[in-house]
Amino acid sequence: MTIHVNRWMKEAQPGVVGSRATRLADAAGAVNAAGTRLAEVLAEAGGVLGWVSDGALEARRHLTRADGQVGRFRDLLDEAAEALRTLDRSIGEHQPEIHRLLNPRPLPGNRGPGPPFPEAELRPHVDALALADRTARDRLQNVVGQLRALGATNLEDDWVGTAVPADVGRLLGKYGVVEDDRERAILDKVMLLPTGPRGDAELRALLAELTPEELADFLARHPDVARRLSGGLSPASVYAPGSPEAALAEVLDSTKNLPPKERIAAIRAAFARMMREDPQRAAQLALLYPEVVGNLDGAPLELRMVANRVKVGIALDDERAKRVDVQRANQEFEPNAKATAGNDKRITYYEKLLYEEVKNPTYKPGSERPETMSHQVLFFDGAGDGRIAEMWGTLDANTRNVGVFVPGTTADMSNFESDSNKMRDVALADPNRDTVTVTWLGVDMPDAIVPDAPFNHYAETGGPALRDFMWGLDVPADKRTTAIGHSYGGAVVGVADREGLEVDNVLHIASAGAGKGVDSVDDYPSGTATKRYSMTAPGDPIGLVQGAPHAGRIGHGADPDEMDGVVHLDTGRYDPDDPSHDGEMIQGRDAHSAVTRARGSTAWNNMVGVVTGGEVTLYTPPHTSYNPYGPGETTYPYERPGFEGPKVDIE
Amino acid sequence: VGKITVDKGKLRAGAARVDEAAKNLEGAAGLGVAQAMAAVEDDLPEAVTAGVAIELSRAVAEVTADLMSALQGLAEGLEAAAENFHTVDVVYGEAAGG
Repeated sequence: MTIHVNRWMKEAQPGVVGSRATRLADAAGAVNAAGTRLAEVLAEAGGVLGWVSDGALEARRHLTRADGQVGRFRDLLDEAAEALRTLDRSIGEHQPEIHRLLNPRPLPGNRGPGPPFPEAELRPHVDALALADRTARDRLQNVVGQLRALGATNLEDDWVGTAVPADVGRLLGKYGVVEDDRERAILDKVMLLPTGPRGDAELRALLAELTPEELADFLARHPDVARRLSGGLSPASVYAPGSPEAALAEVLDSTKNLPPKERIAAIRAAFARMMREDPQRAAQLALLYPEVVGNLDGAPLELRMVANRVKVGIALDDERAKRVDVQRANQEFEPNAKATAGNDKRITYYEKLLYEEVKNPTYKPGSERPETMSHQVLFFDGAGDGRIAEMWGTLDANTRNVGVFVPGTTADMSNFESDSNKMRDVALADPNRDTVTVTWLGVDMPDAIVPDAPFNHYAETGGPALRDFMWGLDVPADKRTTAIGHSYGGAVVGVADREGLEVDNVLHIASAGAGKGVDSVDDYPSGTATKRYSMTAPGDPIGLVQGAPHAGRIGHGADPDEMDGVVHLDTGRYDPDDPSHDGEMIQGRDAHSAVTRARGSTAWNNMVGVVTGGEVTLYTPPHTSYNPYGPGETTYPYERPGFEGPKVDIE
Repeated sequence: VGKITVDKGKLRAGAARVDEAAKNLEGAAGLGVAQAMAAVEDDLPEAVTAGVAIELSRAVAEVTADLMSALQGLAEGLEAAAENFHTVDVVYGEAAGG
């Protein structure tokens, strides 16, 4: 067999491929220099801009990550250079021999046929070069794969968007408060203001020079100033007649003894006038009185959101200040992991509420609804366990459904994001993108099941608040509205229902009860005009509480699963595509949270169905065998693979 | 809470240095690698390594572009900060006990 010698084995000049490798090494050097420069300049900028503590930590954290990526890029270029150098060394070793063997020098005087083809001598050199070529290819291919993976980590986003402050203003907004000449002049005046109501009034007059947009930015960057806006309104007579402040003070004062629905309607009417006459001043009012407007039922939702952003900013500032205390306490005393984690969680969550841009679940191409939006906080109070309500989607004339979810025992600020995200996903489950959802934690919820949850005072406080909140949403009558209560949240919804909640549908999920004092749907003012649904998984420990006898502050009324006039739905089984559950029946202790968490399960689909007016699965009772000597054996239909309960379209 | 005056000159100098690093990177890792890998194709006719050289060139170019964007973004951000800001409130840190 004749050996084949590739062209490059004959032609390649030793050292040439090595010179190409040098260019790769030069590139590695440039990458390294760029990384070093990045670190130096960022550190220097941090000093210039006053990034200390949190700011410096964040910059360092990002820089460490960026450093890792720059280092990886440099190493990969070096690896590619080394692969070519190795190949070049092999060329240097074998190519001269190949050249010599293929070009024998003719012997003097010899005019006969040339020497025989030196296959045997060539073979080791050709084989060695072929192996060196394949090895170099494999090493380079590996480098290419890793470079692509490095690119897939979204290098630019990582560096430009968050890590390196391409958006320097964002980091400045968070850690280094800066101002232009105008702001500086305002701040200089603020420093001279006296403390107390007179100083706060002067502060508001000073800030009124700014447009609502400027004021919102200013307050976000100066939470210490925003904190001075925490007070309420003075009597109407203090303000200029006809001003928004006077109008709001007047309506709040004159309606304080009216029934809530009338009071909320009057507040709404007052704001409607302000918005008609001077929407800019109305927005300014929300910013100057965030504590008054943020949680005020009847105030326009957009103004509540504006006001609550100021409140979240103050709460974030408080938590950051608390972090210093927590860190100090951790150093001086026993480290308190729970306090540290709670503090970290709130900081992270508040930052998300302020800075994160989220996808609008009701966005439709071609519609006026924005594709992305900031978090929409309709209620906020960071004190204690925290209270908050967040809305997902754009509530507009084309909205068809509005669903409000009330979480239960242990719900607080630290875990609210998870509950809120459930409702984002319910909104996303509407294929028409016309469902707006809200998660409402407007009341302190019990911290634990055994010592707290049997008491009904949380629900007695929360029920009327929820009812008023719903009135405050001012959802037009043509929208389909649903209130969902999970666990203790069910008892809150039940009390709200008992107190005149105006919604089209109520859904109890693993509900603690239908509301204190409620034995049948006749105990609700809306009677059967409201459609009610309920579902609880088999073996859910809430079953021990449901329908338990009540006395005084203990008990939550009838079990909604058992009440006539309430449509009993089935919690069924997990999504068969959910690998962690493989389509098994939802049951037992874990079922209590799974019924609202397990996307794609029968329970989840029922929640979506009730909110959006779609298909739901009705309850199928278990079968209990007859045993004359004791309790019979109960088998549930969803224990049988493939079983599907009856489904109905509810609208 | 303390207040410091922003050293605009330092920010602008930092921006210039970062910009220079981006230019060097463009020359070395962008153009330089592309030329070298194209040459490898010519240097090694029929070699399997030659086939990967151009892929390597593309992958390096993509990551280089990302890194350059980052550097240029930082430079622009520093320029903007130098342009717009005069003083800085140090809200957290030593003054706050951190």
